[in-house]
Amino acid sequence: MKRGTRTFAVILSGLLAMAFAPQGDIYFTRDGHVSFYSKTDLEDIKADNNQAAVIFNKATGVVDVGILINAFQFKLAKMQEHFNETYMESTKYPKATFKGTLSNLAEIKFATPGVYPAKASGTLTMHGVSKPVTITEGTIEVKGNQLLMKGVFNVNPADYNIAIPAAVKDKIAKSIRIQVDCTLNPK
Amino acid sequence: MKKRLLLIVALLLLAALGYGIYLFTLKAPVVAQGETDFRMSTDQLVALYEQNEDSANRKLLNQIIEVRGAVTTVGQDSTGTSIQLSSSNPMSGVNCRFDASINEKLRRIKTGDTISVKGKCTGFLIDVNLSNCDILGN
Repeated sequence: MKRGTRTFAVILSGLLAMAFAPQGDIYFTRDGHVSFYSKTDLEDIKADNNQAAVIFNKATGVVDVGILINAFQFKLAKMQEHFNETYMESTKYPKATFKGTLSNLAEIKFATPGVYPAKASGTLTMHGVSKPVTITEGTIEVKGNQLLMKGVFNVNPADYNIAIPAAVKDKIAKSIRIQVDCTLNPK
Repeated sequence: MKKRLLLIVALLLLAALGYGIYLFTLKAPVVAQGETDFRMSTDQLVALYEQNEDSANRKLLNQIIEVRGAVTTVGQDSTGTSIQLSSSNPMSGVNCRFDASINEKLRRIKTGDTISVKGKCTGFLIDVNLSNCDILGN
């Protein structure tokens, strides 16, 4: 109950920000692309999610991301099943959220089309654990009336209490690469 | 007799191995398989999540849902199609994601159409999200 309420509060705060912020400052998408990639000598594992909700306020630099764990698509059914049931326990923890702020907001000229380097820091919550995360290799492209946000960061499953069974531990990377790629439209 | 027993055991092992390989190479479905678990309107689906997200998840998460509603937006690219269905709640609707393999089937869908969609319920963000969707004959 508490968990559900908290994740709801994160999304709700985003929605409220959307409702009250001055017209033109808020950009959002419901179809953001988030993928992750685990690379080891034994196996490469990739999964995609095309339904990330992203709300961004260009005046404050605040960015809210919500993602549903069950919507990650793997190539193999068994991998998807293990990911949901064994590692992420997605019935118990159906959501992951990121709430953060762009740390170099002043360097992004929203009125001038172009690609700008972007950095963000904030809190990533998944599998019931919240940890600080910094994204240093991001970009924001100002294109027409859209903002194209891209970012890459790494996550260690162990930091989020995700236990990898000994039998498969050599097949799953200690550090998983998360890639975010989304096109935001003005509210 | 002994030879026969050995043969049977060998065949059983082979079958088990074959089944194992089958299971471990089985592709994850890109279009929701199986019977529909719940059939409802977009209003009913959104209302269930608005009232109590946790209890809605207990009932609907990973279930195959069939909804009928009006299309508000359609977005299609090489990775697939996203179709947004409206509900009476102005803030949230039903967000349906379709695999690229059925892009062609969805080419003519446009804003304002009323369509029936079947998909796997993955939870609630701004909208109730369905993934691995399929469109049903209208």
